[in-house]
Amino acid sequence: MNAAVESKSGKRWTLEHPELGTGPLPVAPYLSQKYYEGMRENVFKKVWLCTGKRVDDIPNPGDYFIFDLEIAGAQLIVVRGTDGKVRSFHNVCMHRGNKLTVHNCGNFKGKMVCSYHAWAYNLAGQLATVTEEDMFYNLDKKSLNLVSVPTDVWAGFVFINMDPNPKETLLEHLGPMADLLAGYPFDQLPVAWSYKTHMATAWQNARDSQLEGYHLKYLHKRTSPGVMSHAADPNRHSLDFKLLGRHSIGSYFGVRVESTLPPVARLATKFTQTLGSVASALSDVNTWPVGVNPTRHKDWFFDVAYIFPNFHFIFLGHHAYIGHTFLPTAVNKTWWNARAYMPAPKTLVEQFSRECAKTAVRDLWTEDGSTLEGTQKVLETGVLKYLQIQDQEIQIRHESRVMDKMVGDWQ
Amino acid sequence: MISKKLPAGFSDLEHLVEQWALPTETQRNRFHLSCSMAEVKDYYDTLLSRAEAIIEHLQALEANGKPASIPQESKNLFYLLLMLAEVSQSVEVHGQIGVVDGFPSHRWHPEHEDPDWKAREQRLRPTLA
Repeated sequence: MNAAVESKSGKRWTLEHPELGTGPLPVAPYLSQKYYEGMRENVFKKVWLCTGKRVDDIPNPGDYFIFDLEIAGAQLIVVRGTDGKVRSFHNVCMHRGNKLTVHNCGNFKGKMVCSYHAWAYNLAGQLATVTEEDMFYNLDKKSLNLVSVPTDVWAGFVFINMDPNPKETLLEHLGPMADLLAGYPFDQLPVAWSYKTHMATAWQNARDSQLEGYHLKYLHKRTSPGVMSHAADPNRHSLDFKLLGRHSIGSYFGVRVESTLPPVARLATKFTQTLGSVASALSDVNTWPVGVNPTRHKDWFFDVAYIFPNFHFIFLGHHAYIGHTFLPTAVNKTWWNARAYMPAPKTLVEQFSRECAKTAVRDLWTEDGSTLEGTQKVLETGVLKYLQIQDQEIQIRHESRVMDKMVGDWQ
Repeated sequence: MISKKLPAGFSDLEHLVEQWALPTETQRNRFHLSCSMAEVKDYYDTLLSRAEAIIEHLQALEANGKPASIPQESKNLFYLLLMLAEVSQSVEVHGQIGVVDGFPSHRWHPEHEDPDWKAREQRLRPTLA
């Protein structure tokens, strides 16, 4: 371990970014309908949003998935065209507004046909067929193509932008994050499992719960026992923080000692990567993207790579990561999808190992979820006016500030 | 009628098949959460003592590559092993049935078990069992 890394265990990160200040954060924006509307108008209807889904979800022409963006009052069909291109359209038939599909995903078999009166659109969204067309008066078919939404792909992830004329490209939005994560083998890793839920909590509560490693040693003391403390420095959490414009990365220390794992958890680590595996020993960390385990530390647990505003990666290794999508659906409601990506199990025994990894992470996530609805109720009592933010919670401070600046004057 | 038997050499576990050999995570999780800690601990101890033998059996099945089909008896044994993965959390981690003060399990929806997901999965990863 080099000295520079060692020295980063102390309180210092926030002081390196004096623009952030060190004071508490006000609770008011978390509860305010006006702030929520500011997020809607200035952020969720203006910037690139990761759908949390990948081009691998829709490999063939006509394959589609639905992206619900309730904060913007929109439901989008994301569909692969006959030309291979991925496009997004509002799920709205231009005749009288029927939904073109009521399913979450599927295949349109060459064209999108409305079930109501069988108007048909090609996979590029152009109106192709109007049934009984001669019964309409002065139908301007050219103006009745599906309403498209700007769509782009980075590293296989599908992003959309509700602004018909985005002010920046997806790569401009991603900024340095794209280079820092370049080379990660996203395209080799299928979804291992995926959970989703609706929670009665402000979107900011959900965001904050994922943006710090402070809680791991405490809230996850059962599901990650001992991982984030070390005899030499029991309060060590972070190896690195990078504030990257709107985005940010936190890299976290963790030790895994196989002999301390309980029997089934230990058995599982023999066959596939689990929470008990030492990820830095599975492949040469120097071959990883420069933004994943950026300090190249062997006692590395995970990174949080937050892509503003609604998506973040948890990197658990070079062949294991999680994609979290958090979307506000109301001022006090949030939709959460957590997808893990890892190599597909090749044998039954690997599938058993994978089941162990899945149940362990599943239960860890329900620990994460345990605080969120209670916190919302507490904040709504008005007892707490400010949130206290420590040095290790710098990503919360940073992302709150980014959001505040974009929302602007809301009071 | 699906066989409730196990492969030769595992008759000591056969009495568990009816209740514990469940094919999906949702079924396993629901059954797990309906059990007492004593029942779960008993199952855990029994299966853990046979886990190596079960793993050897499953490895032997696939020793010459993936078989075209897996006998129901071996599937039952595999499901018992998956149930060990499920209940090990209560024994090894939580010290009680289910996550301590956790978000309700029934609201944490395993999308990977939905029918439309399974159809898509055929393309994305091999189907086992």
